[in-house]
Amino acid sequence: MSLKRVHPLTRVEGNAEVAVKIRKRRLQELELNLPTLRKFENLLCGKIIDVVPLLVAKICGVCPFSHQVAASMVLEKALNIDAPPLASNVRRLILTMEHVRSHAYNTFLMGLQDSARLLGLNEKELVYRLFRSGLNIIRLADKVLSSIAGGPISPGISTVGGLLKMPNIELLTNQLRKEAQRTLEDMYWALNLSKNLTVSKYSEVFNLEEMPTLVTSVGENYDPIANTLKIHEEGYWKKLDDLADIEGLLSRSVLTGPFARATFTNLRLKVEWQNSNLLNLYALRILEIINALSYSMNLLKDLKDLKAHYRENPQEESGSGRCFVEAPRGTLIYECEVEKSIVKNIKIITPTEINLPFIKMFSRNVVEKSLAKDLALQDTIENLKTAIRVFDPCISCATHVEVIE
Amino acid sequence: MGGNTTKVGFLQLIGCSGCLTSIVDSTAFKDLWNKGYVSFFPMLKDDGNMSGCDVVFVEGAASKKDRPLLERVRAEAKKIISVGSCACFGGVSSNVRDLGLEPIHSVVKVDLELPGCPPPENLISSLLYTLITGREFKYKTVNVCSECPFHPCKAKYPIVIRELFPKGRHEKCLLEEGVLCLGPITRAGCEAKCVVWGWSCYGCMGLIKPTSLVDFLALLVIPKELKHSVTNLLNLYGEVEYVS
Repeated sequence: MSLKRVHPLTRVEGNAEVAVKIRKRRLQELELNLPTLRKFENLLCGKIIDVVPLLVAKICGVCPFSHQVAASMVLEKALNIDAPPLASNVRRLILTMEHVRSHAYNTFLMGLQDSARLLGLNEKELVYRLFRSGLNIIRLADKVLSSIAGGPISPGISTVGGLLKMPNIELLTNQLRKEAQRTLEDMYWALNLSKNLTVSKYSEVFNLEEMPTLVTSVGENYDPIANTLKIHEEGYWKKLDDLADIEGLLSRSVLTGPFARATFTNLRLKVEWQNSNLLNLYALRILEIINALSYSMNLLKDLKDLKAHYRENPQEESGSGRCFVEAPRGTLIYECEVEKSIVKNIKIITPTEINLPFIKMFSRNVVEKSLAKDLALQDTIENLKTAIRVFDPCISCATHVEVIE
Repeated sequence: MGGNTTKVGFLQLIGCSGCLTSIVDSTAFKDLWNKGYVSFFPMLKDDGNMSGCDVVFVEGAASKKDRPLLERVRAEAKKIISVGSCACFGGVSSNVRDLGLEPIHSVVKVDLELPGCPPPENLISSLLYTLITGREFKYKTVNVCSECPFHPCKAKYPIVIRELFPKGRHEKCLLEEGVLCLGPITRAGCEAKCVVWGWSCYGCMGLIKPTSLVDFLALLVIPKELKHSVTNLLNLYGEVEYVS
């Protein structure tokens, strides 16, 4: 019997651990242990509503604004108000740039060691160029987010009813136009390189046996706050709005994130999708970065024509609501009940939580396939780490999941 | 601090990763990485060993489970630097009482604390460059008001607090408008970013001196119906306790 503990596993806070038991080159057990729970929902109950968008941004330092926008939107829903169109478009812009920053972290920094291993990149120069490309695109996103939201992590400007402040759109447009051109060349280069991942040394073990059920809330033309949940089953997309069905998602092996978004928006047709291989996620994220830059430029054009009204004050004090926001890792679901402007109940379902049953199933498959191919234990473990990190290095942001298996 | 061949490690405990991404985003990090100073950083690489590190940056608050690890780090590293409000004061997560999260200095001796949620980029870069150049890192000893565009406050004491959050556009000091703002008692360094972007100051940089909260509260009149929410806000970063 060989027991291998892999720690740290994730690239973000908490450092999840996976324990793998193998007997006679067969997988006996795979246990994924998550770090200490932060119980954020407990922290939010009893709080005055205005503090909620500020607090939830502290759930995740990689995707803080997805939480902030989701909290603002769910409270608006509960109190029966609509944010002005200008505020919604600024939120779209903030989330799109957050996708860029988060994807750059995921693909070029947190995932660099994995992709370099799979591609057999031995040249330091090449690995460094990938790292530098990642840092450059992160810097671009940081600059834009600093101009539009006060920083890439905080303070943020989304609040109940709209925005706290209107950013300087003209300054932002010039900044984005100037900087985006410089980074696009690197992105196309990285995109070409990442396509080789699906024909790389260990790529076969990352093949999907069958297409997973996909879930997304992204709108056509990539709208991250379209606020409708869709599920892809038997070749069709259908709207999912029954509460039981939504809660049922957590017990099913479904996949949310770039894979689902790309299928819904047909973006994945741009990737050579000759097989359903999860390593395509690298290319998809880079494509999403490229797409996000042009989507943001278009949003900025629209913003100029909107009236400068950016906040509505709620008239009601009690109610309940639910909203769906498309975060970088996938659909983020918020449900909330408010009584006299105080949060009575709140439930946050993160994309990571939706993906966990799939992660568990997929990581088992990767280990089994690696063993069946007679790969060394070390390579098997490296493949397992890649399998988990390739689509979700953010295990710790799952706010109320305890232990898997 | 400083030296020729400093090996640096980054340890992640219970937090949100925001402080570490802020470090990676900073202009100084690329230099640190390129010069091969970064020896342990699980966010970016699997290999590496914390044992050989001269300086260990710790992000996040500590749970009971983390004690042995921190004690080992303390025994081996020359310097421990707490980064961010969770590591320095317990942070937002420490508000969930049953988690039992603590700031790092409650578990082991800490050589330097860099607060902020997340710490400002200029302070991060300045601190990281001390590792390369050996220069001394200096804290700001003034309060957030000194960096605030709405300074000076023309309010007459005692100030009656009417709101906990700014409502809409504001053109003058929040305290003048009766909005709670911890700027006067909070250490500067953030360029009053939260106030500039429409929030109040919630004290993530820490108190300028331990007694300042008591002195400050004595100057405020807080209506009974707001006291519970004020307590929540004062506790936001886990550093201060306000018993009304």
